[in-house]
Amino acid sequence: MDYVIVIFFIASFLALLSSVLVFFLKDMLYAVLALTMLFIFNSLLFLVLQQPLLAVIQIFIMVGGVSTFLFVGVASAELMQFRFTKLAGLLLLWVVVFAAIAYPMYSKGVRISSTSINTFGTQEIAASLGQYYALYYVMMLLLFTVSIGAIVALKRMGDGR
Amino acid sequence: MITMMTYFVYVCFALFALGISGVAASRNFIVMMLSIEIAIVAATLLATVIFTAGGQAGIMQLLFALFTIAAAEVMTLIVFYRYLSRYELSMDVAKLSRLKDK
Repeated sequence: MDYVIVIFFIASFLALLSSVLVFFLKDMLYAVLALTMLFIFNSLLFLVLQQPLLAVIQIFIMVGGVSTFLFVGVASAELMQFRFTKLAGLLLLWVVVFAAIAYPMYSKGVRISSTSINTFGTQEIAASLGQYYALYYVMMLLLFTVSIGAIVALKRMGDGR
Repeated sequence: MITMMTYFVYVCFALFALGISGVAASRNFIVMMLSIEIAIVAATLLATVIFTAGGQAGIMQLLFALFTIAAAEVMTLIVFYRYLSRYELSMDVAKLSRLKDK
């Protein structure tokens, strides 16, 4: 019980610190790194809430997708000036801290309270997915349209040189 | 009695306030979009906290919609950034508000 509370306070403090760092860092690459740290610690907060599926989805979509988009599309223009500094070492340290915190939660199965249930289990999600097929297709269409539109806009920019 | 969920709600409010204040206070276009990402993250966390306390599972659609909006927003951010950097325009939104001056 106490262990989870300590994890919660550490994760929430580091998430708030990361979100503050997004505003105060001058280099855009560092700001995107801080945003990625926010996503990672937010997934740790999902773990504290006893929702491991949401934590995995958070890592897959936000860290794997959104941060990669940001790195490739925006921050890669700044990569030429990127050097290993103390700040990058600090970010690496945060990843190590996250791994050290998250591993015992999986191994020991710590619970917040005895009445906590996993409301995002497979059966509940399957039951709730079935009613809203159209919504997921609308989301797919939105993402597809935006990505194709982004490619077309970037290509027109390239033709205008 | 202050429970764990109360602290969760406090953290969500703090994250959301940071995101909105970043949108309101910053003049950099990139920082504003990243702040919107922070606000979206806070919204997903708050929705999860409230629906976990209520014991319902009906918010997966909402969470997927929020993740989709976040991803689509990042794609538009990439296009805007490439446009602004290609034509060497300023990232300052106060200067961007003049639409007719190129």
